[in-house]
Amino acid sequence: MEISFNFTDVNAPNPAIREQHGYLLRNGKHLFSAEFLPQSKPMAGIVFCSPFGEEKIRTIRIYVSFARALAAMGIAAICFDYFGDGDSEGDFEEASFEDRLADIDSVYRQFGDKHSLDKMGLMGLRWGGTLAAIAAENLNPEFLILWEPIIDTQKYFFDHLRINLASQMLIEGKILKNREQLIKELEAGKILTVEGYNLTGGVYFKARDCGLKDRKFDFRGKSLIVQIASNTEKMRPELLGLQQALVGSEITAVPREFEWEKTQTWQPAPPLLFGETIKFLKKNGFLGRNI
Amino acid sequence: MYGIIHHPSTPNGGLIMMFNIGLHYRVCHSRLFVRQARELQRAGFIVARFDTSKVGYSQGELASGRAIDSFDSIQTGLFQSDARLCVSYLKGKLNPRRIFFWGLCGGALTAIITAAKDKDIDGVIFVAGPVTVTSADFELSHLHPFDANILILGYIKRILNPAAWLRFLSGKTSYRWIFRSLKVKLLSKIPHHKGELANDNETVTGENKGDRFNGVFLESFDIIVKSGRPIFFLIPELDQATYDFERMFAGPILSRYTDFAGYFSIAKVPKANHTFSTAESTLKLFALTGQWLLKGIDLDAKAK
Repeated sequence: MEISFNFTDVNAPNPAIREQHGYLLRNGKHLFSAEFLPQSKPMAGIVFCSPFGEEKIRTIRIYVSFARALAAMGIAAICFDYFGDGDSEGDFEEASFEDRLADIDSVYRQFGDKHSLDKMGLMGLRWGGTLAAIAAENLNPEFLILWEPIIDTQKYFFDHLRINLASQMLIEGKILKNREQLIKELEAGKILTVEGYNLTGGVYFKARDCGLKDRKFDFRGKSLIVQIASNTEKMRPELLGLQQALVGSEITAVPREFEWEKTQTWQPAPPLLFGETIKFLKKNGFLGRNI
Repeated sequence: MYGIIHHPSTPNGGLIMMFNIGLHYRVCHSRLFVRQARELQRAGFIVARFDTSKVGYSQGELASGRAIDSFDSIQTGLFQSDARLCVSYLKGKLNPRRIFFWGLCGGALTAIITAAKDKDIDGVIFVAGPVTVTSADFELSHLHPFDANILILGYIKRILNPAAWLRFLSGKTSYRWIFRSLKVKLLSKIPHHKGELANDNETVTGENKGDRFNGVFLESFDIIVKSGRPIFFLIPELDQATYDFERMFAGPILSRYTDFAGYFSIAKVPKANHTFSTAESTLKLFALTGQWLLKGIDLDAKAK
């Protein structure tokens, strides 16, 4: 299927799109949300689940661009901030792992009800993909899109602590506490600041232990896994493992068009990633027209 | 453009506008802007954080490419028209008694450049802003003296470490980085920046802009202090921008402004990096910001 896409002007004012920014309530907590809606009744709706910490800050523009692209094609999209994150209420250290899943659940249901959406999907980049996949088991959406999801959360969160070590090196000139010592502190109930975020043991251990590796999924919707890596010829085994676990899922690879661990490339609308995702949506009947 | 306004329960009449860092949106690294805004809100200020056009949730598009290629235009006022538009809107909507700008990194430049052109802005908090104009080619091919210092300090710390000597003698050390850092350190001792006022286009727009003093910054500083409005420079100790600030601005230039010394002040936050990512440095940043702003509001109240 040959589809041509042009995303260079996707963030230009577009009369075909309505944008509604505001707050949703989940158990009395205000969650920031930005809805991107087609002028006509949406063919489907999609909830974007954010990555962890700074990865979200560095990639927010990609979510916004893709939400606008989808709205222009007739799909309603919503970006939101977890409790304690982004523009939402609360402090980072107040939010538990379960809060993130409850936020996804609540936003998904409210968004669907508000716009009477018949078909809905979840999408996430990196840890946002991990959470989307876990949330999909309860919500059972029609489709699930995972952009370079974190499979091995044990490794991901352990590696994340390295940023604290780098900070120790810069500020103190040496490592005062290694990662094992930091984990002991988390176990003892201390709060650890990593890249400016106050991390609690509660979040660290739950997020670490709740990954996608070897997970058995009870999900029967359509799903797409996108590997984002310089080598597009070879799929990583961990992603192939996830494909096996998600019955009937598709997997594809695109080169790295942007970064999440630094801000080196300004690519607000990565065409290959967007293109592959839109092909999947179109092929599975969630899209009715091209942009 | 989209943004968030924090309304205090007991307003003190002050409006603070926060300007996003480079291409990052209004939340900023580690939610720094959200936390700073809430602190100021508790102190009675209305605080506005918004995404300039082309960034975050706002509309418009910067061409894709290397992020660093847009830094020079941000440092010389790319977002000033967005800032003026927002100020104009908020003045009409909120009717504040006093307006202060708060900007971090590239946002500090947006703040000072815009304030220079709008006399309704009562003061600027300039946080970790670069006083140079970035050239991508220069930046990517040169080692900054601040980074050279860190490398050299690391070598010195390991000078009595047998394992380090073993690596050095067995050829496993990167000799290139040792010599490069020493060379940069030595060259940095040679003064070569006059810091002339703007109008000297070469200062800002000439080729090889990296490591060049930002004339637009100086011109803006000059206008603001000479109009009797205060600027508060908040600089983190562990930051390239602070190194340049002290070497190219505080040292050679501020001595010319002794007649206006009452209109600018500098506070260096110890052990703070560019984004104030430790708990201690964040608290210090918030405390200094709050103290300075509340002083500005109190003085105004006395005058009335």
